[in-house]
Amino acid sequence: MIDFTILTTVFLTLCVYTFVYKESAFWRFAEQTFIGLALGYTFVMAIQQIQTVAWVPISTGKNVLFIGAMLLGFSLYTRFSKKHAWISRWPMAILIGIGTGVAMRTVVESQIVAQIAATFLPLVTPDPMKTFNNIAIIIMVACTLFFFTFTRGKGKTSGNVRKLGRYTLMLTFGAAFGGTVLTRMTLYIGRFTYLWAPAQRYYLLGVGALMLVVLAFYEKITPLFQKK
Amino acid sequence: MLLIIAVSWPLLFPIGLPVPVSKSTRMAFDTIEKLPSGSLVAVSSVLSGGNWPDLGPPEMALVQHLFKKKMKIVFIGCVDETPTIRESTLLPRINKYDAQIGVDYVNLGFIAGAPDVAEAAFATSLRKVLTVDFRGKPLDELPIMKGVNTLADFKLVIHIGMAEDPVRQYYTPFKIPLIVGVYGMMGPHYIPYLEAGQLSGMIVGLRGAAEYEYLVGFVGEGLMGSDALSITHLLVAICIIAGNLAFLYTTRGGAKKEGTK
Amino acid sequence: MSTFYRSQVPLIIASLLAAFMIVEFFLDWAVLRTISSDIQSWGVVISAFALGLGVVTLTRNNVGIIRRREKNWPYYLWCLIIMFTMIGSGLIGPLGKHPVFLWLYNNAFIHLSSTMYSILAFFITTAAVRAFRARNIDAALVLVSGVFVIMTLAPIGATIWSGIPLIGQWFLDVPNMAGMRGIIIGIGLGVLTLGIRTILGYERAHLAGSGGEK
Repeated sequence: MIDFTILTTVFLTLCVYTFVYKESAFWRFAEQTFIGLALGYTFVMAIQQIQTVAWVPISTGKNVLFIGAMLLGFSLYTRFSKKHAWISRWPMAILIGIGTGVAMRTVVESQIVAQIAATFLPLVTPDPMKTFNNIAIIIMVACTLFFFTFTRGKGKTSGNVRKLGRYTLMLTFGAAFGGTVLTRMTLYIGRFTYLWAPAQRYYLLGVGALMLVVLAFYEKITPLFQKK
Repeated sequence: MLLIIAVSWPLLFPIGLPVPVSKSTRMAFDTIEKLPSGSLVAVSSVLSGGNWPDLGPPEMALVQHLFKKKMKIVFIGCVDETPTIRESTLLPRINKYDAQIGVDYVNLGFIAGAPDVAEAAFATSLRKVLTVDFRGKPLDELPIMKGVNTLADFKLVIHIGMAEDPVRQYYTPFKIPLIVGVYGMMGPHYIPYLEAGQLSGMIVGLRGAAEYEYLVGFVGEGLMGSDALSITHLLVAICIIAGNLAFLYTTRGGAKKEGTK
Repeated sequence: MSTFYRSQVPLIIASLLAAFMIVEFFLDWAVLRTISSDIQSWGVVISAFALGLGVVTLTRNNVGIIRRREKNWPYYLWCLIIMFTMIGSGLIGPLGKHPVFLWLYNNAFIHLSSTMYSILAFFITTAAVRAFRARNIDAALVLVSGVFVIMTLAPIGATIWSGIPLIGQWFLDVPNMAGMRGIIIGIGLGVLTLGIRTILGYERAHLAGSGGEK
């Protein structure tokens, strides 16, 4: 008995993986399915959010002012009209204002003051390695900030400081690359673990073989019909 | 092809490599261990289908630990997919130790908006932006939400996703312990927050999840995938080294030929 | 006057709201907190409406392609069919709880979504063989640091040689931490600058694409 659910999941997964070889009809099908499902899901969740945050308080009489919020929300859709598109700037401005305000009010403490304070490390500690690390960190942070602030400069000293800042950033990007490999491999391992699970394995082999045959047939046959 | 073999080999023939526990994972574990049983904990997340392999295992490991310690858990999502994937994929796979929904844990749904805005709204205006839980039950009827109005009413916040916005919106205004579960590629980015004391722990991707599962004492996706992770990482490292050795050989070989002319 | 409503009023709204959100945070008065909560909840409602913009845009775009019978138009038709199936099933009964909606989400969307991201693993492996070359000292530093961190993040690194995680962790805790700290401070200054520009009305990027006027 064929499990339609597993067949669908394996088929859709393999459709996406055909992209690794070449863009194919399978890939295009999977791509458009993904886009349609993503937007459909988001739309339903948006309706749910509007219902719980705005409609429930309005309908129960707890906060009828949300009617204003709903009107502003609807006015976002005027952007599709050439004549009335300017109306959509008002709700956008509200979103920008709120977003800017909430980000700005804590950024000074969290990203500037706290980080600078944490850079003030003890220069002498009982552990020689820790002492070396602390001094290295202080110098590297200063050089990195110098590199960002003074992109051009005259003199050998400023050049060397910027060079050390650049080398620090290269080591940072190397570490970031290491983390990127972890994420990419994790995503692939997650998918492959699912495909290779006992319940899915035979569907993987069967559907995979069938798709390979179809792709090979398509590659061989369609050039024959193309005009020379 | 090599990648397929690198992943399938350890799945078919597990190696069982030991998983050393890093400092950031140990910090997260100790923070939860020190909390009294029954403490109210917020778990906010950007979990979705696309990032499940990277963020799902850390969230599962942390949530499993919270249930084991009999904490009261309030789940909130910062993107639209989070509540659905929690209901369908995360919570069914976890041992809840007889925890009751509405009393010991609740899924509050998600808050629309940019991450900063959604988190700030949850932290400061919880009752205004959330009137019902994901099942549609009013918050006033849920025993777990009694007396909960802002983030100040929580003893611990766990955020799964990026770390900058929760540091800005959860930790900085309220100074509540914050543990993050982050993407593997963002782990190195957030070490400064850990060192500055703004984070009480950090679980980095699948590797962090494997370490945490080992500490909690259960086998989840982290430990199951750690062998495959090792082999694939070794493969990438060998590819880089081999590629550079070949590059050195060809450039030196070219230089030598130029010299002999 | 119409220019005032079209471009000046949005700038004033953004500016006043941003300033209010900051002032409310530092003054910590109950009445300001209440107003701020209301504003934030309005923002959540407006953001929820914004989530639906994609559906309208996609429908307009795809209908145009289908009408003009452009290349691969059947796929765009399929996209609309599946999208409206998802929407239709999601709106029946309790929102987002219909079995068809949940089946499509759990058995199609999640798998497509995670597979889309997972194909990057192939590209990074190919790039590791072909593209990552230590052509100069900068690239060499990136690669040395990268290789040690890759082997530190994998459990096998400690098994091959106990020094690998020590060196890798040093790269993470010292140069990476220092560089990232510099980047974080720089980003913080950037956010601050952008915020001040928004409050002063110099930032007009959010006005683009809606009217096309200054």
